Order: sequence, then C-alpha cells, then structure tokens
Amino acid sequence: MDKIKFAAKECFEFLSSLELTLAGLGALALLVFLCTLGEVQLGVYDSVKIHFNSWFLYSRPFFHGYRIPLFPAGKLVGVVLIANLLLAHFKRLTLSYKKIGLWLTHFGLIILFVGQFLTGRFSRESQMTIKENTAKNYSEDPRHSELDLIDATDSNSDTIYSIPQQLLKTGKTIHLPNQMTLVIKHYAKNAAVDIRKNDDAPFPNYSAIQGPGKNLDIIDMPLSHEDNQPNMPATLVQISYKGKILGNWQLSEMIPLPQQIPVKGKEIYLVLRPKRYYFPFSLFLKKFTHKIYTGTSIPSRFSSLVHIEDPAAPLENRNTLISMNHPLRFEGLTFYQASYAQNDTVSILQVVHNPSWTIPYISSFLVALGLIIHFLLRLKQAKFIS
Amino acid sequence: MKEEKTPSKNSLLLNLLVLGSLIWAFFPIFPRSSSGIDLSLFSQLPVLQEGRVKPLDTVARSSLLMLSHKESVSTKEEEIPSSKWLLDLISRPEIADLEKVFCIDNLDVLGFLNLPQNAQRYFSFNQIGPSWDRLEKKADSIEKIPAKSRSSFESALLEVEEQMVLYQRLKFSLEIPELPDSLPSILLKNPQAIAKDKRLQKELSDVLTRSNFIDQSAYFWAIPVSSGSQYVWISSGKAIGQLLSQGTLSSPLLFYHQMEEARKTSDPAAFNAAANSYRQWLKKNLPSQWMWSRYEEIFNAVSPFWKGLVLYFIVFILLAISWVILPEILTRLAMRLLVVALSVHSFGILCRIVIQGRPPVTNLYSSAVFIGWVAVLLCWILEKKFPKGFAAMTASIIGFTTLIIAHHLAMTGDTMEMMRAVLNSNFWLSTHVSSITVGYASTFVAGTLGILYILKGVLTPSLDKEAAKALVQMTYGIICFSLLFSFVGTVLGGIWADQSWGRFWGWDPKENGALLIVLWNAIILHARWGGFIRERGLMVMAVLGNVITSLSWFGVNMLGIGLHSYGWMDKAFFWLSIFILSQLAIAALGGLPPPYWKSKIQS
Repeated sequence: MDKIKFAAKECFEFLSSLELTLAGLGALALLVFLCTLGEVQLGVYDSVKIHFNSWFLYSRPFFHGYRIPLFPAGKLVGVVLIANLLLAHFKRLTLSYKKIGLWLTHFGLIILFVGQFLTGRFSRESQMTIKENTAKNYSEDPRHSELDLIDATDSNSDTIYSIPQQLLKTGKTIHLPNQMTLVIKHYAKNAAVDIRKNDDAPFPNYSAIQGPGKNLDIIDMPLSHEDNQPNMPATLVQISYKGKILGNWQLSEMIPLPQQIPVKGKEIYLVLRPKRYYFPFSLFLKKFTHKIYTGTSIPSRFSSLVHIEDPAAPLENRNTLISMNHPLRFEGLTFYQASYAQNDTVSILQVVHNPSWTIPYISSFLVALGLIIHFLLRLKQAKFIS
Repeated sequence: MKEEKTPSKNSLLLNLLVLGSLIWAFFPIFPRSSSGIDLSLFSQLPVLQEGRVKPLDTVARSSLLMLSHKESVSTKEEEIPSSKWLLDLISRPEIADLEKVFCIDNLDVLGFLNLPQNAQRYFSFNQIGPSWDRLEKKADSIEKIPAKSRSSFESALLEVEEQMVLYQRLKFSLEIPELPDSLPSILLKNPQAIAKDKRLQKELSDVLTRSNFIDQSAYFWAIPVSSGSQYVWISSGKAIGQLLSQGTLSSPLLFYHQMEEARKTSDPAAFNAAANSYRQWLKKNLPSQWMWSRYEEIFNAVSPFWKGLVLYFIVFILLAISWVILPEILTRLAMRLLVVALSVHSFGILCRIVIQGRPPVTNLYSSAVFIGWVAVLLCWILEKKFPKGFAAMTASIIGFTTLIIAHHLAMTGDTMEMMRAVLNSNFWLSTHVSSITVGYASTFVAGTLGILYILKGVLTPSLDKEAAKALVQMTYGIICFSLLFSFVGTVLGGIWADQSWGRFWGWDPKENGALLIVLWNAIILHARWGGFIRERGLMVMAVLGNVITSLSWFGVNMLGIGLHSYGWMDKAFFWLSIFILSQLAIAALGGLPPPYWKSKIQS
C-alpha cells in the first residue's frame, strides 16, 4: 500500500514539476519551429495536421507501413502542459493577493487552450461564391468533396444522397436506400481532366462510359500541398438499379454539371462536387466593389453589398455591407470578405461556424491583465526593497 | 594628452558640442542651385505615384536608391543631387543617359551585357542600351520561372531589367510630345478642317499614339486637373490627349511645358519663373497637397534617420573610449548626444506618422526604424535607473544597427507605400503591429545587455559584482516587459485575424514567429523562477532570444522564397546567417564555466 502511495506521490511530483513545464514549453517551441519550416513544403493545412492536430510526430513508414512515434506532437504536449499547470497550482501556488496576477494568467491560458481545442473540434470553415444579382443558400468546403446522387423525380423537392469523400475508395461497393448500388471502380484524390485525343486508347479498360465523361480522360495527379491549389478528386463509378447494371460514369469536380442516370420513371442525377452546407436563409449579392488607389493596382477596399433573405423570419431581411475587417455575423455563422473572381462580378465569402469564437477574447484579456498585475506588483516590491 | 581642464570649461565645451550636434541634426539641407536653376523649386512639386501624392524630391531619391543604392550621383567633378539628376533625365535625357546610375555587381550579368568585369560597379543607360533587346527577351523567359527556382544570375538579371524599365518610365513621365505648330490653333478654331486634311490627320494620330504611350508608361502622374469640385491626378500623356480631343488645356501642363522649353534653351531665369508660377498656382488651387508635399521635402532634407545613424555611431565610439580614458566626461557627452540622436530619430518617426496619416509601423522598413526607436527609449530609461553606461551602449548598438538595416530596406522603393485592403486599418496597425514591434525591440535590448555581460565578463576582468547585478536586473526586467508586449501583440494579431478572416489562429509563419518569442520569454522566466538558471544562464538565454527574434522578424519573410531570391533578400539572408552565427558563438562563450571567465562572476 505504501508503495502505491509512494508511486502516486512520485507521479504527482513529476506531473506538477516545473521541469515538466519547461520541457513542455520547450517542446512546444520546437514544434512551432518545425511546423513553420514544414509549411514551406506541405502547406499550412497539412503541416499543422502533422505537428499539432496529432499526438505524435512519426517516422517514415518502414515495416509493413508501420511508423514509430519519435516526438510528442501538439495534442500530447498541450494535454501534458494543462495537466501540469492544474497540478502545479494545487501544489505550489498559494491563494494570496501577491499571486493574483499569476493565477489570472494561468487561468486565462487554460481557457485559451480549451478554446483552441473546442475550435479545432467544432469550428467549420467553408466558402460561398456568389455572382452579382444572384442568391445562394449554401456554402462549399473546398477541401472536402462528396458524391451526390440527386433524385429529382418529385417536382417540389429533391432528395439528395450524399456520399462523403472518405467513403470513396477504389473497389468499394455502396448500397443506397433507393435500391441503387454504386461500385467505385477507380478513385483518385487528385486528378486532371483532359479531352480524349486518341479514341483507340480508352482509359482505363472500361469502354462503356456514359454521359459527358465519355470523351474525357482522367489522369491521376500527385497530391497538391499548395494552399491555393486544392486537390481535384475524380472517380469512375459503375451504377446498377435493382441489380441491373446501368453503366459506368466518370465524375470529377472539373465537371460541375450533374450527369443524368437513365432510370425508368425517375429523374436521377449524379455529381462529384465540394461538400455543401445549406443554410435556412440565402444571401443575394447586390454589388461587389473592388477599390484601388489611383494610378496603382493596390486594392484599398473590397466589399460586398448583400441582402439577407430569410423566409422564416422576414423581419431579418435587410441589406448589409460585408467588407475586409467588417464581417457579417448572422445565425451563428460569420461571413468574411475573402476573395473575388471573374472581373469583379463574383464575390467569395469565407463562412465560419465557430461556437467558441469568443473564448480567445476572454482568455487573452485575462492573461494580459494577469501579466500586467503581476509585473506591477513585482515592480512595486522591487522599489520597496531598494 | 592634454591635461584635464577645469570642470566649468569642460561643461561649456560639452554644451557647445551638444548644441552644435543638435543644430546639425535638425538642419535641412536643400539641393543647391545648379547653373542658375533653383532646384528646390522643382523638387517641391507634388506628383502622384503609387497612389500617394509626394514631392518630386521623394520620387527622385527613392528611384535613385533603387537604381544605384545611393541618394546622389557621384561623378569625377561633382556630386549630383537626386533632384538634379531627375530633372536632367526628364528635360535633357541625352545628358542623363551618360550618368552612371545603374549599380550592377553580378559578374555574370555584366558578361551578359558585354560590360567590363572589373572593379567598376556603376554603369550608364547608354552602356546597357545596346543589350536592351537581349536583356528584355531573357527577362521574359526568366519571369516564367517561379521565383523559388531562379538562379542568382537570373534574379540579378531580372533586377537590372526592372531597373531599366523604371529608368525609362521615369524618363517618359513628364514627356510632352512636340505638337506641330499649326495643330493646336486648328484644333481650337476649326476642328472640321482636320477631316479634310490627310497630313493633319496623320500628325494628329502620331501625337495621340505618343501621348497614349506616355500615359501607359508614366511612372508618376504629374498633372492635376479639376474634376467637379476637386482635383484628380493624370499623366502628362493623358493631359495631352485631353488637350487634343477636348481642347482643354490644364495649367500645370503648360507650366511643365514652359519649364522644359526653358531647359532646352538653357534659360534658367525662364525655368525659375515657370516653376514659381506653378508653385503659386498650386498654393491657390491645391493648398493642402502642396503643403504636405512641402513638409515631406523638408523631412527628406533633414534626413533624420541618417543623422540618427551617425549620432548613434559617435555615441558608441565615445562610450567605447570612455571605458579606457576620460570615463566621466566622455560618458556625459555620450549621454547627451544619445538624447540628440533619440530626438532626431523621434522627429523622423513623427514626420512619417503625420505625412502618411498612419501609425508608425506599416512595413518592414518602418518596423526597423521603430524597433530602433523603442529600444533606444527603453535603454535611456534603464540608463537613468542604472547609470553604468551599459544601457547607453546597448542603445547606440541597436539604434545604429536598425537604422543601417532600414537604410538597406529603403532600396526597394518608396517607404511610405499605400496599405493593401486587409492592412487598411489604422486601429489594428497601431495596436497589434506596434505592440509586436515593441516586443521585438525589447528582446533585442535584453539580448544586447546579455552580450555586454558575456563579452565583458569573459574577455575582461572589469565585470564587478555591482555591474553584473545591474546588468542582470535590467535584463530580467526587460524580459518581463517583452513577454507582456509580445503576448499582447500576438493576441491582438489573433483578434485582428478573427475579425478579417474568421480564425483566431491560423499557424501563419509570421504568427508562429511571434508565438516563438512569447514561448522563449516564458521559458526564460520559468527557468529563472525554478532556479534552473542563474545570472549567467539568464544572460545566455537572453542572447539566444536575439536569434529567435531575428528569425521571426526577418527569417519568416525568407521562407518559401528560397535562397536564390530577389537581390536584396539574397544579401539579407547572408547577413541574417552571419548574425545568428555570431549570437550562437557569443552564447557558447557565455556557456564557458566561470573559471574560464576573466571576471569573477556567480555561476
């Protein structure tokens, strides 16, 4: 029993030690440095995934694809630092007014960490591309795609069967509730589409390709890590209805229009496109403005004048101006002016759903306040002594 | 050595010296008249360039810096001020084309241009001219290569091509095409006559083509024309076009035309008269733009950052000598000169704020200037509290170094550029950017104090207990200060990012750099509180803080651009590497166990 107590005490001592704090901070600094270097080759998204959104940094796969963990990554270091901080407060820091600054700072840091964790878990980023004088009620995630089977038989509403990208794998069979079956004959995470030049060499050996994809070649490409060059997935799907094979279709995000699948008595379309998030309201883009300084091409201001159209709450309908540094916050979503296209007639808005967006504001205020109080108290103390 | 004078005489001499340096520091040096032409009349004239109304003086200085990396042209006989050079380029290009203003030091590029590969670095337009076609073709093919994979020859060649383009654009900016004598009067009185006359039509279309070309290639727009209730700026080519198509003649065009005619006929009196009339016209019609342009010219003429640079250097030398002889008097003089340097430095920053209507830090150049200013100010306060000369020494080192860096950064163009849409927010620029920069400045102060401690301690026996204690206390206090400002700055950056992109933290290299400084300061403070490091450890870690701060200030800008990037980044990379190596060497020196130190220190 004593042994266990002793071991537990040792463990507590270790977890609450300042040595561990320093090791954790050092590891964090090293990770930030490595992540920054990694961004050059991998792009921000992938480098952060490797260095911070995982538990370990792994070696290259060597034996049967196994990898060994080499160094703790962001998640592990974060958890250890938080545990260390909490335990250290139990052990060392007494509640006195002299220490109030430290308490505030560390408490703020814990909230900041937790807030970042929640953001990573629950926030969702997508983009909304609206042409002037049109409305849209959904945004798209350029990093994730989905295979959508649209049943438009009912003239009032469509039924959409969405198959997320993660389920698309070469050789996989997917049964849909409407008695249709999809066999993924080929799937590429990134592929280029080209018009077939040589009819003698159909790609791959699936000659019976239907629809507009018939005359196209899909060429597998290496994965892109450039932040402004998303991967373009493509797939070759065999479709059957009630056990009868209807044919093969080639799909790519480069073919944005849905392709019709011939099923008797039904109107079925198939499309591979960026994952969509639908809103209960729509935004109508009245005007996109791109101002530049006279005699230069330097932009001084971008803004989108939009009209909110909410059928459920007509009182919310109004004009609003979204510009750089002035986003629109509406129904839990935030719309930012992100980019533009097609000779300034198309506005691209970044749409963020982040329920924990206020946490960094509160926590950093606490940390800053704590630091100021602590250093002022120390200064006063030092003056008093001298 | 002379014998010590009496204190009163000494302080009289001291005060005279300080007064003299003060006058020198704030005295504006305007370009002198040259063969009867009042150059300052010309250099004050406002024009629109890169979206900002500025005096021709600024255009001349920044263009010449881009071409020759200097603010004047030196010939065997004389030193030609930048405004004189610009005036020649515009009104007597055949003379300007002989001036050696292109600075080329890449030997392969010199070979490509068939220029002598000897010690000579400066070349004239006429020397490069014969190779222009080849240069342009080669540059076109280089532009297709991504910046990352260009060789240093290719980047240097592209730089020369860009310099040539800039030179020619400057030349065309005020060109007023010759109008056939009869054309203007026919246009005004009897426009229908042109439709019948083939020769007139040809003349008209030639002039229009030329003025259109001038409009397309003008580097700055010099002609204000009234549009409704206000004035807008257009190029001289466009003004000619308006004259021919609408029959409207803007007065500024006429004044510039008179100035150029006067130059061609070598009539300085007529030139001065035309410039003066334009000046009166501006005072009347564009009073505020005229005034700002005038202020900016004075700011340029004072050259506060150059004066600061010289003064910081003198302070450094004085303090260094004071450690050997005449400690008391030299320190006193140095401290006063430091105040003069700080005041002219402050004046420069204030002028930039007022002229630009922006907070102090808007780009890399102004961050260098501001880091120096904050560091010197902090050191001055420290020196008041711990009057041992260390903080003053630190001030002179950082002040001098940052202003040298700023001087080199100015070679990329006008340093008061317009802010892109996402940065177009004075609130965030003044809060986030300023506090981050204060964070940078304070880590450099702590690091430099660390260097002084290590060098003095290891190499000399002069680091006594008291001096060591003062150095450590200053460093410790500054690290706390730095942690606060870099944290607040980083967080404000996050909040700005949340406001403009919808994410608090995006792992952008610049954000990561700021975070690293925060983490490093936190590590130092926790290690000190835990007793893992003591005096010496604190100082060594403070020196390493210099490495981290320089990486986050400059290093991240070089990421992804590759090592064979644009000319100046190539050089910046070289100097950054030298700096980092030197800091590591000093830290290693500080890592020597106490018995190897010449001074007796705590472990």
